Amino acid sequence: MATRINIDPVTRIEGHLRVDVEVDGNSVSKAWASCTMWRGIENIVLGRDPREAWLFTQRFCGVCTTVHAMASVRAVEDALRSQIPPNAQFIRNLILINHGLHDHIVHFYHLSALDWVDLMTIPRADPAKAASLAQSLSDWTGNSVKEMKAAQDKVKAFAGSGQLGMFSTGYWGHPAMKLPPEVNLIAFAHYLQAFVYQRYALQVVGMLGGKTPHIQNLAVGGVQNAINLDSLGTLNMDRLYQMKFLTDEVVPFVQQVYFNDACTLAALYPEWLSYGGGVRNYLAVPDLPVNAQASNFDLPGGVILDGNIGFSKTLYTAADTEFRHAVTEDLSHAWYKGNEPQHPWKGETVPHYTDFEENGKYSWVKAPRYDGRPMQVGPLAQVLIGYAQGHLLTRKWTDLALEKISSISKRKVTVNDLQSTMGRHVARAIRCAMLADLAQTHWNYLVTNISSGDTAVCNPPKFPDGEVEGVGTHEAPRGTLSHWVVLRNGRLSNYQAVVPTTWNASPRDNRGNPGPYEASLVGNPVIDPEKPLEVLRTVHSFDPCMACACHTFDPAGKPIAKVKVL
Amino acid sequence: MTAFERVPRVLVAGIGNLLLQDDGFGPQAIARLQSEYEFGDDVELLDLGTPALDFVDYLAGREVVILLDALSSGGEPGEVIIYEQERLKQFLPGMRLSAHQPCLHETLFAAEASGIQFKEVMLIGIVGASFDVDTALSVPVKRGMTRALELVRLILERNGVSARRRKRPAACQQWWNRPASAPAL
Repeated sequence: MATRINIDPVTRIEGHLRVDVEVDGNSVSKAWASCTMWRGIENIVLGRDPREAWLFTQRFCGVCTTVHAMASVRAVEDALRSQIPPNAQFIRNLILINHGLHDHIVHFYHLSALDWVDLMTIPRADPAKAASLAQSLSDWTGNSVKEMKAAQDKVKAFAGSGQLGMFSTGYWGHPAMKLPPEVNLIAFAHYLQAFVYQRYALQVVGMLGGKTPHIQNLAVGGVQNAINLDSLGTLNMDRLYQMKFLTDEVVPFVQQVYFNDACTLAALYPEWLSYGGGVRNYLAVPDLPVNAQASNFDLPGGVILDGNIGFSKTLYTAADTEFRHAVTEDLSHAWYKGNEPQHPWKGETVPHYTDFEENGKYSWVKAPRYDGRPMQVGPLAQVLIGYAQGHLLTRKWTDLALEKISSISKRKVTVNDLQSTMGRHVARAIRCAMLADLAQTHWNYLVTNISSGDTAVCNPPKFPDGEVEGVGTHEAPRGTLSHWVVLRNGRLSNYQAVVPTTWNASPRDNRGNPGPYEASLVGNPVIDPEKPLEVLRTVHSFDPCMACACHTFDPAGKPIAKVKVL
Repeated sequence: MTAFERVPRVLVAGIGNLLLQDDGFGPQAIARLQSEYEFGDDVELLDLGTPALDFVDYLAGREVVILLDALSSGGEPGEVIIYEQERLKQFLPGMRLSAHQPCLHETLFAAEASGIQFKEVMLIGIVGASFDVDTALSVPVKRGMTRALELVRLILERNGVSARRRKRPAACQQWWNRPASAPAL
């Protein structure tokens, strides 16, 4: 007989995700992903000046503020068909790259590693053995016996006192935890170090954006950073080199530590390269434009359908004509009025709550579809699409990852194996290693352009009479983000954000097709229904962030996640 | 603020989401403080919105950090409550003291793990009444605001920072209340 498990809310994420699964013979047979908070924050910008929308939209979410600011200015610029100066592209790109570096580091170490790493085994690890194992994988300076010992002492202190504090909610001792104590120790030592390096990446965002979260330097038409290489208080040589100094610290951490840890994890949990594939349609938009026209990009975009990872259709621009027409949002299983799929420019957000009805409406997340299909977005989509297109940087890091995983696990691991729960973690590490290279590339673009005498940062916008539509996209850490705007006489008359988690956490559509979370959970093992660690592993691999998918906080506050076996 | 600059020894940080009514108490309080009070050079006032690990950086080098945040429970709407460091640390991650509890707990751990030194952190909270999508505070929180601002002044004075009410308030930088100006057509 099937056992029903309900996890509400799923912890270690921002916002409110509820997951229901039916388990039949230690394996998931059906799954539902539901966001339990109402969406509709976009309505707050209606009627406002489009030049100020980004100030509001970056407060949609507490984690990915920057990305919503960027998508908003790009959407208005697209509606005006305007270009921004090259300096503005590079400054924006550096902000996005560094935000991505920070975000991926935090996701891997602080939000999902503890699904795989059993802290309670660390007191019995041998720090010398851990250090020598870590050194055999990477010559990173933080792999010393001293660092391992310090990390172990930290665990001993809180485990010994019985005060687990922020670690009190882990599934310690779960039979699905399989790493040797020394590997757990290495991972936790890097977990602590990761706090330092994610911070350096954020500092670059702060230096260019004024502060984080909620950057202050954007404008429709470009950026507001004054550039004068010889002047204090502007973007000058000093500040540019301070940024470079920080980047030079972050790059080795990402490429020699994070990247290796993700590959090692995959090699030691090889079975997780076969669970969790789910929806095998992938979408990514191109990003990091390298010229004013935004016609060339350093990161590719495209579409892969039906798991055919050998071929990707290319999306050539950030607001490709195909993309503009292909996206709709289906409301048949979401708590909104209406059942017909709506294009975001025509989209309405009228709530219609019915309680959780597994065959009817059950989520506040709408179901975005691409030509009617559910799509998986995020680093896995980004990597598979780049790989299929022969994108050099993607190939370089993906091939290196596959080689490493194969050599540690002593079995041939291919790009096809990445269509899995663990594959999403590996793909995120690949993407992050690519961003680390690009952090240096785009710093060089900016410095070269400024050194040639160009100090232009903004083309002030002109708003036409009548109605114009625009879409602004950003290939964010969690995947494709798009803001869709309609301007009427220079005011915002419609605004819809289709965010990465809306794609991935989408409920079923009118054809009954499940969204990526739901599909990926089917076939997942569950050893102990009271402690559904395996379900969390797959959900966390998507890096869920419900705050902007459904757009609000829980005011009342809830206790620690409840797992109910029904 | 960057890693390369010295920071004022006292930080007053407004935390919260401006778009969710009373959750915006922190940022709104910062705007009011800047407009209605004058402070010495050794204090920095910042609207930090909804920081996650971003917040760690702002602790570095501080003697005193005062957080202004909305509380989801703990008293009557509009009531102002001060939590000092030891009490803040006692809250488990699942017990949300304020709407940003996960951030605060992890922030203190992350700060320690990154070797960031600061002396004292406290929270001045106001119990919210309404957290719907809107930039307007509820009536009880609006009423409690003045008291919260005076408490900030007193706490700053107790920490040796000069803080006094202006005779005439300066312009209040509340972009979220700005009427949409006529765009350049």
